[in-house]
Amino acid sequence: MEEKVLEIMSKTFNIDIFLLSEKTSKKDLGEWDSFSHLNLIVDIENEFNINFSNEEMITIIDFKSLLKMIKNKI
Amino acid sequence: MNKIIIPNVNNNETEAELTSWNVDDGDLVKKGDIIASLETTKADVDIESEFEGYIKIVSEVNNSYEVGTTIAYIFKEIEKYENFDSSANSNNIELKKTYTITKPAEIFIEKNNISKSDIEKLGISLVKVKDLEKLIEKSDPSLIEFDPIQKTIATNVKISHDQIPEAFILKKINVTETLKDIKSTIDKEGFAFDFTELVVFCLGKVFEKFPKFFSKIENNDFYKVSSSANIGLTLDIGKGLFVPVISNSNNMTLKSISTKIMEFKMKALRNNFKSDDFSNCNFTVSLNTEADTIFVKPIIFPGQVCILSLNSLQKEVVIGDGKVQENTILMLGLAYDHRMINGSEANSFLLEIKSLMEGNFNN
Repeated sequence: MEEKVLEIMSKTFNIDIFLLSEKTSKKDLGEWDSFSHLNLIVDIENEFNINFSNEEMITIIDFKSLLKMIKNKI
Repeated sequence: MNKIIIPNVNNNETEAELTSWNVDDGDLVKKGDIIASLETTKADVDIESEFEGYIKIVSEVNNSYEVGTTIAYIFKEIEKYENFDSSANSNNIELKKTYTITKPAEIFIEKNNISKSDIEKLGISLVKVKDLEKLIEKSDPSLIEFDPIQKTIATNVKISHDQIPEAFILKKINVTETLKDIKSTIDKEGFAFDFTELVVFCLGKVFEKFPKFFSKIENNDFYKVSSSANIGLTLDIGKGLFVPVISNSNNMTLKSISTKIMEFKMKALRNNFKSDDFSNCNFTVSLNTEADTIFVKPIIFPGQVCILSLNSLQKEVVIGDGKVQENTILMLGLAYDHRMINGSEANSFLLEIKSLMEGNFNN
Protein backbone atom coordinates (compact mmCIF):
# COMPACT_ATOMS: atom_id res chain seq x y z
CA MET A 1 0.00 0.00 0.00
CA GLU A 2 2.86 2.39 0.80
CA GLU A 3 4.12 2.14 -2.77
CA LYS A 4 0.66 2.71 -4.20
CA VAL A 5 0.20 5.84 -2.09
CA LEU A 6 3.62 7.16 -3.13
CA GLU A 7 2.74 6.41 -6.74
CA ILE A 8 -0.48 8.43 -6.46
CA MET A 9 1.36 11.28 -4.75
CA SER A 10 3.97 11.27 -7.49
CA LYS A 11 1.30 11.43 -10.19
CA THR A 12 -0.79 14.06 -8.38
CA PHE A 13 2.14 16.33 -7.57
CA ASN A 14 3.75 15.64 -10.93
CA ILE A 15 7.14 14.87 -9.41
CA ASP A 16 9.50 11.93 -9.57
CA ILE A 17 8.56 9.19 -7.13
CA PHE A 18 12.19 9.04 -5.95
CA LEU A 19 11.76 12.52 -4.47
CA LEU A 20 9.08 11.14 -2.14
CA SER A 21 9.47 9.02 0.96
CA GLU A 22 7.72 8.15 4.19
CA LYS A 23 9.18 11.37 5.58
CA THR A 24 7.48 13.55 2.96
CA SER A 25 5.33 16.27 4.50
CA LYS A 26 3.07 18.99 3.14
CA LYS A 27 5.01 21.78 4.81
CA ASP A 28 8.31 20.79 3.20
CA LEU A 29 7.14 19.90 -0.30
CA GLY A 30 6.42 22.91 -2.51
CA GLU A 31 4.36 20.82 -4.95
CA TRP A 32 1.99 19.82 -2.10
CA ASP A 33 0.03 23.06 -2.08
CA SER A 34 -3.60 23.58 -1.15
CA PHE A 35 -4.79 22.88 -4.70
CA SER A 36 -2.79 19.66 -5.17
CA HIS A 37 -3.94 18.63 -1.67
CA LEU A 38 -7.51 18.54 -3.01
CA ASN A 39 -6.47 16.48 -6.01
CA LEU A 40 -4.53 14.09 -3.78
CA ILE A 41 -7.58 13.53 -1.57
CA VAL A 42 -9.83 12.88 -4.56
CA ASP A 43 -7.29 10.49 -6.14
CA ILE A 44 -6.83 8.58 -2.87
CA GLU A 45 -10.58 8.38 -2.30
CA ASN A 46 -11.10 7.01 -5.79
CA GLU A 47 -8.23 4.54 -5.63
CA PHE A 48 -9.16 3.01 -2.27
CA ASN A 49 -12.91 3.59 -2.52
CA ILE A 50 -13.00 5.51 0.77
CA ASN A 51 -14.22 8.94 1.88
CA PHE A 52 -12.58 11.50 4.11
CA SER A 53 -14.49 14.00 6.22
CA ASN A 54 -13.49 17.67 6.07
CA GLU A 55 -11.98 17.36 9.55
CA GLU A 56 -9.88 14.42 8.39
CA MET A 57 -8.78 16.18 5.23
CA ILE A 58 -7.04 18.97 7.14
CA THR A 59 -5.24 16.49 9.39
CA ILE A 60 -3.49 14.92 6.40
CA ILE A 61 -0.24 16.77 6.82
CA ASP A 62 2.31 14.21 5.69
CA PHE A 63 2.74 10.77 4.16
CA LYS A 64 2.46 9.05 7.54
CA SER A 65 -0.83 10.69 8.53
CA LEU A 66 -2.24 9.94 5.07
CA LEU A 67 -1.25 6.29 5.24
CA LYS A 68 -2.62 5.88 8.77
CA MET A 69 -5.94 7.35 7.75
CA ILE A 70 -6.25 5.10 4.72
CA LYS A 71 -5.44 2.01 6.82
CA ASN A 72 -8.13 2.98 9.34
CA LYS A 73 -10.72 3.12 6.58
CA ILE A 74 -10.09 -0.04 4.59
CA MET B 1 -51.42 37.86 -1.43
CA ASN B 2 -47.67 37.29 -1.25
CA LYS B 3 -45.35 36.39 -4.09
CA ILE B 4 -42.75 33.62 -4.23
CA ILE B 5 -40.03 34.73 -6.61
CA ILE B 6 -36.84 33.28 -8.05
CA PRO B 7 -34.13 34.57 -5.64
CA ASN B 8 -30.76 35.99 -6.60
CA VAL B 9 -28.66 33.01 -5.55
CA ASN B 10 -25.35 34.21 -6.86
CA ASN B 11 -24.23 37.49 -8.39
CA ASN B 12 -23.04 35.57 -11.44
CA GLU B 13 -26.38 33.90 -12.19
CA THR B 14 -29.31 35.48 -14.00
CA GLU B 15 -31.70 32.54 -13.96
CA ALA B 16 -32.41 29.24 -12.23
CA GLU B 17 -34.16 26.02 -13.15
CA LEU B 18 -37.16 25.01 -11.08
CA THR B 19 -36.40 21.36 -10.33
CA SER B 20 -39.28 20.41 -8.03
CA TRP B 21 -42.25 21.54 -6.01
CA ASN B 22 -42.42 20.00 -2.55
CA VAL B 23 -46.04 21.09 -2.17
CA ASP B 24 -49.12 20.77 -4.34
CA ASP B 25 -51.20 23.62 -5.66
CA GLY B 26 -53.68 24.62 -2.94
CA ASP B 27 -51.68 23.20 -0.04
CA LEU B 28 -51.57 25.14 3.20
CA VAL B 29 -47.90 26.07 3.70
CA LYS B 30 -46.27 27.40 6.82
CA LYS B 31 -43.55 29.99 7.23
CA GLY B 32 -40.18 28.22 6.94
CA ASP B 33 -41.52 25.26 4.93
CA ILE B 34 -39.26 24.17 2.07
CA ILE B 35 -41.68 24.53 -0.81
CA ALA B 36 -39.53 24.21 -3.92
CA SER B 37 -36.05 23.44 -5.18
CA LEU B 38 -34.00 25.25 -7.78
CA GLU B 39 -30.80 24.49 -9.56
CA THR B 40 -28.28 26.98 -10.91
CA THR B 41 -24.95 26.22 -12.49
CA LYS B 42 -23.35 26.83 -9.09
CA ALA B 43 -25.71 25.56 -6.44
CA ASP B 44 -28.81 23.63 -5.52
CA VAL B 45 -31.18 25.92 -3.69
CA ASP B 46 -34.18 25.22 -1.51
CA ILE B 47 -36.87 27.88 -1.41
CA GLU B 48 -38.37 28.50 1.99
CA SER B 49 -41.76 30.05 2.35
CA GLU B 50 -41.63 33.39 4.12
CA PHE B 51 -45.42 33.33 4.51
CA GLU B 52 -48.22 31.15 5.77
CA GLY B 53 -51.21 30.43 3.56
CA TYR B 54 -52.61 28.59 0.55
CA ILE B 55 -50.23 28.29 -2.36
CA LYS B 56 -51.10 28.97 -5.99
CA ILE B 57 -48.41 27.61 -8.29
CA VAL B 58 -47.92 29.56 -11.54
CA SER B 59 -44.75 27.93 -12.88
CA GLU B 60 -43.64 24.58 -14.21
CA VAL B 61 -40.96 22.17 -13.08
CA ASN B 62 -37.96 21.77 -15.42
CA ASN B 63 -38.36 25.32 -16.75
CA SER B 64 -35.74 28.02 -16.24
CA TYR B 65 -36.86 31.36 -14.86
CA GLU B 66 -35.07 34.66 -14.61
CA VAL B 67 -34.27 36.08 -11.16
CA GLY B 68 -37.28 38.00 -9.87
CA THR B 69 -39.89 35.98 -11.75
CA THR B 70 -42.95 35.08 -9.69
CA ILE B 71 -43.39 31.32 -9.51
CA ALA B 72 -46.21 31.12 -6.96
CA TYR B 73 -48.54 33.17 -4.79
CA ILE B 74 -49.58 32.58 -1.19
CA PHE B 75 -53.00 33.61 0.11
CA LYS B 76 -54.00 33.90 3.74
CA GLU B 77 -57.62 33.01 3.00
CA ILE B 78 -58.74 29.97 1.03
CA GLU B 79 -61.45 32.04 -0.69
CA LYS B 80 -58.87 34.37 -2.20
CA TYR B 81 -56.87 31.38 -3.39
CA GLU B 82 -59.95 29.90 -5.05
CA ASN B 83 -60.91 33.17 -6.75
CA PHE B 84 -57.42 33.90 -7.98
CA ASP B 85 -57.00 34.62 -11.68
CA SER B 86 -53.30 34.02 -12.46
CA SER B 87 -53.40 35.70 -15.85
CA ALA B 88 -54.70 38.93 -14.32
CA ASN B 89 -52.30 38.99 -11.38
CA SER B 90 -49.06 37.70 -12.83
CA ASN B 91 -46.08 40.04 -12.78
CA ASN B 92 -45.24 38.63 -16.18
CA ILE B 93 -46.97 40.58 -18.91
CA GLU B 94 -49.26 38.40 -20.95
CA LEU B 95 -49.56 39.40 -24.56
CA LYS B 96 -51.33 36.35 -25.77
CA LYS B 97 -52.82 33.44 -23.91
CA THR B 98 -50.29 31.05 -25.41
CA TYR B 99 -47.22 32.71 -23.90
CA THR B 100 -46.00 35.16 -21.27
CA ILE B 101 -43.07 37.57 -21.30
CA THR B 102 -40.78 38.27 -18.37
CA LYS B 103 -40.06 41.84 -17.31
CA PRO B 104 -36.46 41.88 -18.64
CA ALA B 105 -37.71 40.35 -21.90
CA GLU B 106 -40.34 43.07 -22.19
CA ILE B 107 -37.62 45.74 -21.97
CA PHE B 108 -35.54 43.85 -24.52
CA ILE B 109 -38.52 43.74 -26.93
CA GLU B 110 -39.03 47.49 -26.67
CA LYS B 111 -35.34 48.24 -27.09
CA ASN B 112 -34.97 46.03 -30.15
CA ASN B 113 -38.37 46.65 -31.77
CA ILE B 114 -39.28 42.97 -31.91
CA SER B 115 -42.71 42.29 -33.39
CA LYS B 116 -45.45 40.14 -31.84
CA SER B 117 -45.44 37.85 -34.84
CA ASP B 118 -41.70 37.20 -34.40
CA ILE B 119 -42.30 36.34 -30.74
CA GLU B 120 -45.12 33.97 -31.65
CA LYS B 121 -42.82 32.22 -34.10
CA LEU B 122 -40.66 31.14 -31.18
CA GLY B 123 -43.47 28.78 -30.14
CA ILE B 124 -42.63 28.85 -26.43
CA SER B 125 -44.82 29.49 -23.39
CA LEU B 126 -42.40 31.67 -21.41
CA VAL B 127 -40.40 34.24 -23.37
CA LYS B 128 -37.06 35.22 -21.85
CA VAL B 129 -34.26 37.52 -23.00
CA LYS B 130 -32.20 34.50 -24.00
CA ASP B 131 -34.95 33.38 -26.40
CA LEU B 132 -35.35 36.84 -27.89
CA GLU B 133 -31.65 37.21 -28.56
CA LYS B 134 -32.02 34.48 -31.16
CA LEU B 135 -34.33 36.79 -33.12
CA ILE B 136 -31.77 39.55 -33.44
CA GLU B 137 -29.84 38.98 -36.60
CA LYS B 138 -26.17 39.64 -36.43
CA SER B 139 -24.94 42.12 -38.96
CA ASP B 140 -21.61 40.33 -39.00
CA PRO B 141 -21.76 36.53 -38.52
CA SER B 142 -18.19 36.47 -37.20
CA LEU B 143 -19.25 38.52 -34.15
CA ILE B 144 -19.30 36.54 -30.91
CA GLU B 145 -21.59 37.71 -28.17
CA PHE B 146 -20.37 38.13 -24.59
CA ASP B 147 -21.12 35.24 -22.26
CA PRO B 148 -24.27 36.03 -20.16
CA ILE B 149 -22.47 35.20 -16.90
CA GLN B 150 -19.65 37.56 -17.83
CA LYS B 151 -22.24 40.22 -18.62
CA THR B 152 -23.70 39.82 -15.13
CA ILE B 153 -20.25 40.08 -13.59
CA ALA B 154 -19.59 43.18 -15.70
CA THR B 155 -22.85 44.72 -14.48
CA ASN B 156 -21.74 44.26 -10.88
CA VAL B 157 -18.32 45.73 -11.67
CA LYS B 158 -20.06 48.73 -13.21
CA ILE B 159 -22.40 49.14 -10.22
CA SER B 160 -19.39 48.97 -7.93
CA HIS B 161 -17.51 51.61 -9.92
CA ASP B 162 -20.60 53.83 -10.24
CA GLN B 163 -21.80 53.66 -6.63
CA ILE B 164 -18.76 53.08 -4.46
CA PRO B 165 -16.11 55.79 -3.97
CA GLU B 166 -13.31 53.33 -3.58
CA ALA B 167 -9.85 53.87 -2.15
CA PHE B 168 -7.04 51.37 -1.83
CA ILE B 169 -4.12 50.75 0.50
CA LEU B 170 -1.37 48.17 0.12
CA LYS B 171 0.79 46.89 2.97
CA LYS B 172 3.96 44.86 2.80
CA ILE B 173 4.11 42.13 5.41
CA ASN B 174 7.26 40.29 6.31
CA VAL B 175 6.11 36.71 6.83
CA THR B 176 9.54 35.07 7.11
CA GLU B 177 8.94 34.18 10.75
CA THR B 178 5.25 33.54 10.17
CA LEU B 179 6.13 30.73 7.76
CA LYS B 180 8.17 29.09 10.52
CA ASP B 181 5.27 29.57 12.97
CA ILE B 182 2.86 27.99 10.48
CA LYS B 183 5.12 24.96 10.06
CA SER B 184 5.59 24.49 13.79
CA THR B 185 1.84 24.89 14.41
CA ILE B 186 1.08 22.26 11.75
CA ASP B 187 3.51 19.88 13.46
CA LYS B 188 2.23 20.67 16.94
CA GLU B 189 -1.51 20.80 16.27
CA GLY B 190 -1.65 18.23 13.45
CA PHE B 191 -3.74 20.10 10.91
CA ALA B 192 -2.84 21.85 7.67
CA PHE B 193 -3.43 25.50 6.86
CA ASP B 194 -1.77 28.35 5.01
CA PHE B 195 -2.13 32.09 4.60
CA THR B 196 -5.74 31.93 3.39
CA GLU B 197 -6.90 30.31 6.62
CA LEU B 198 -4.60 32.56 8.64
CA VAL B 199 -5.95 35.77 7.11
CA VAL B 200 -9.55 34.73 7.78
CA PHE B 201 -8.56 33.90 11.36
CA CYS B 202 -6.85 37.30 11.80
CA LEU B 203 -9.87 39.10 10.35
CA GLY B 204 -12.03 37.39 12.94
CA LYS B 205 -9.65 38.58 15.65
CA VAL B 206 -9.85 42.24 14.58
CA PHE B 207 -13.63 42.22 14.14
CA GLU B 208 -14.43 43.60 17.61
CA LYS B 209 -11.99 46.48 17.23
CA PHE B 210 -13.10 47.37 13.67
CA PRO B 211 -16.79 46.39 13.37
CA LYS B 212 -17.48 49.14 10.83
CA PHE B 213 -15.37 47.33 8.26
CA PHE B 214 -17.83 44.43 8.40
CA SER B 215 -20.98 46.50 7.81
CA LYS B 216 -23.65 46.07 5.17
CA ILE B 217 -24.57 49.06 2.99
CA GLU B 218 -28.30 49.55 2.61
CA ASN B 219 -30.13 51.68 0.02
CA ASN B 220 -26.78 53.17 -0.92
CA ASP B 221 -27.00 55.82 1.84
CA PHE B 222 -27.08 53.82 5.07
CA TYR B 223 -25.04 51.14 6.71
CA LYS B 224 -25.71 48.56 9.37
CA VAL B 225 -22.96 47.18 11.59
CA SER B 226 -23.05 43.38 11.63
CA SER B 227 -22.92 41.26 14.75
CA SER B 228 -20.37 38.86 13.31
CA ALA B 229 -17.58 38.65 10.75
CA ASN B 230 -18.92 36.67 7.80
CA ILE B 231 -15.99 36.34 5.45
CA GLY B 232 -16.46 35.51 1.77
CA LEU B 233 -13.59 33.88 -0.10
CA THR B 234 -13.13 34.13 -3.86
CA LEU B 235 -12.49 30.49 -4.71
CA ASP B 236 -11.60 29.48 -8.23
CA ILE B 237 -10.11 26.04 -8.60
CA GLY B 238 -10.82 25.75 -12.29
CA LYS B 239 -14.58 25.15 -11.97
CA GLY B 240 -15.72 28.77 -12.01
CA LEU B 241 -15.61 31.53 -9.43
CA PHE B 242 -17.43 30.92 -6.14
CA VAL B 243 -17.62 33.20 -3.10
CA PRO B 244 -18.63 30.95 -0.18
CA VAL B 245 -18.91 32.55 3.26
CA ILE B 246 -17.28 31.57 6.55
CA SER B 247 -19.95 32.82 8.93
CA ASN B 248 -19.16 33.96 12.44
CA SER B 249 -15.41 33.67 11.86
CA ASN B 250 -14.79 35.94 14.87
CA ASN B 251 -15.85 33.05 17.10
CA MET B 252 -13.97 30.32 15.28
CA THR B 253 -10.63 28.67 15.97
CA LEU B 254 -7.94 28.43 13.32
CA LYS B 255 -8.69 24.71 13.05
CA SER B 256 -12.43 25.17 12.57
CA ILE B 257 -11.77 27.85 9.94
CA SER B 258 -9.37 25.47 8.16
CA THR B 259 -11.99 22.71 8.22
CA LYS B 260 -14.64 25.05 6.82
CA ILE B 261 -12.38 26.25 4.02
CA MET B 262 -11.51 22.64 3.18
CA GLU B 263 -15.24 21.90 3.00
CA PHE B 264 -15.72 24.80 0.57
CA LYS B 265 -12.79 23.75 -1.59
CA MET B 266 -14.24 20.25 -1.92
CA LYS B 267 -17.66 21.71 -2.71
CA ALA B 268 -16.09 23.88 -5.41
CA LEU B 269 -14.36 20.82 -6.81
CA ARG B 270 -17.53 18.72 -6.71
CA ASN B 271 -19.88 21.57 -7.62
CA ASN B 272 -22.30 20.86 -4.76
CA PHE B 273 -22.65 24.18 -2.97
CA LYS B 274 -25.92 25.08 -1.26
CA SER B 275 -27.39 28.58 -1.28
CA ASP B 276 -26.66 28.98 2.45
CA ASP B 277 -22.94 28.70 1.67
CA PHE B 278 -23.12 32.07 -0.10
CA SER B 279 -25.35 34.03 2.28
CA ASN B 280 -24.78 36.96 4.64
CA CYS B 281 -21.30 37.91 3.48
CA ASN B 282 -20.13 41.21 4.99
CA PHE B 283 -16.44 41.16 4.08
CA THR B 284 -14.68 39.49 1.16
CA VAL B 285 -11.14 38.19 0.81
CA SER B 286 -9.96 38.16 -2.79
CA LEU B 287 -7.48 35.31 -3.23
CA ASN B 288 -4.81 36.17 -5.77
CA THR B 289 -2.16 33.74 -4.65
CA GLU B 290 -1.08 32.45 -8.05
CA ALA B 291 2.71 32.47 -8.31
CA ASP B 292 4.27 35.83 -9.20
CA THR B 293 1.07 37.83 -8.72
CA ILE B 294 2.41 40.85 -6.87
CA PHE B 295 -0.96 42.35 -6.13
CA VAL B 296 -4.49 42.65 -7.47
CA LYS B 297 -6.77 45.57 -6.72
CA PRO B 298 -10.24 44.01 -6.49
CA ILE B 299 -13.62 45.73 -6.75
CA ILE B 300 -15.79 46.05 -3.66
CA PHE B 301 -18.92 43.92 -3.99
CA PRO B 302 -22.01 46.16 -3.86
CA GLY B 303 -23.48 46.06 -0.36
CA GLN B 304 -20.14 45.58 1.36
CA VAL B 305 -17.61 48.07 2.68
CA CYS B 306 -14.27 46.36 2.06
CA ILE B 307 -12.45 43.69 0.21
CA LEU B 308 -9.04 42.40 1.21
CA SER B 309 -6.64 41.27 -1.48
CA LEU B 310 -4.36 38.38 -0.48
CA ASN B 311 -1.51 37.99 -2.94
CA SER B 312 1.30 35.53 -3.58
CA LEU B 313 4.46 35.25 -1.51
CA GLN B 314 7.51 37.09 -2.82
CA LYS B 315 11.16 36.84 -1.94
CA GLU B 316 13.08 39.98 -1.01
CA VAL B 317 16.77 40.39 -0.34
CA VAL B 318 17.61 42.98 2.32
CA ILE B 319 20.64 44.12 4.22
CA GLY B 320 20.16 44.01 7.97
CA ASP B 321 22.70 44.05 10.81
CA GLY B 322 25.46 44.32 8.23
CA LYS B 323 24.55 41.10 6.45
CA VAL B 324 22.45 40.12 3.47
CA GLN B 325 19.32 38.14 4.25
CA GLU B 326 16.33 36.82 2.35
CA ASN B 327 12.83 37.64 3.55
CA THR B 328 9.47 36.28 2.46
CA ILE B 329 7.03 39.07 1.74
CA LEU B 330 3.26 39.08 1.43
CA MET B 331 1.35 42.00 -0.04
CA LEU B 332 -2.02 42.66 1.61
CA GLY B 333 -4.29 45.20 -0.07
CA LEU B 334 -7.51 46.71 1.21
CA ALA B 335 -10.06 48.35 -1.08
CA TYR B 336 -12.54 50.33 1.02
CA ASP B 337 -15.59 52.54 0.69
CA HIS B 338 -14.53 56.13 1.34
CA ARG B 339 -18.04 57.08 2.50
CA MET B 340 -17.38 55.11 5.67
CA ILE B 341 -13.68 54.65 6.06
CA ASN B 342 -10.79 57.08 5.84
CA GLY B 343 -7.20 56.34 4.95
CA SER B 344 -5.97 56.47 8.53
CA GLU B 345 -8.61 53.95 9.64
CA ALA B 346 -7.76 51.64 6.75
CA ASN B 347 -4.12 51.96 7.69
CA SER B 348 -4.87 51.07 11.34
CA PHE B 349 -6.93 48.09 10.23
CA LEU B 350 -4.16 46.68 8.04
CA LEU B 351 -1.55 47.40 10.71
CA GLU B 352 -3.55 45.28 13.14
CA ILE B 353 -3.66 42.40 10.63
CA LYS B 354 0.04 42.90 9.89
CA SER B 355 0.86 42.83 13.58
CA LEU B 356 -1.05 39.57 14.08
CA MET B 357 0.54 37.93 11.07
CA GLU B 358 4.10 39.10 11.74
CA GLY B 359 3.86 38.37 15.44
CA ASN B 360 2.62 35.23 17.05
CA PHE B 361 -0.85 34.67 15.66
CA ASN B 362 -1.44 31.94 18.25
CA ASN B 363 -1.58 34.48 21.07
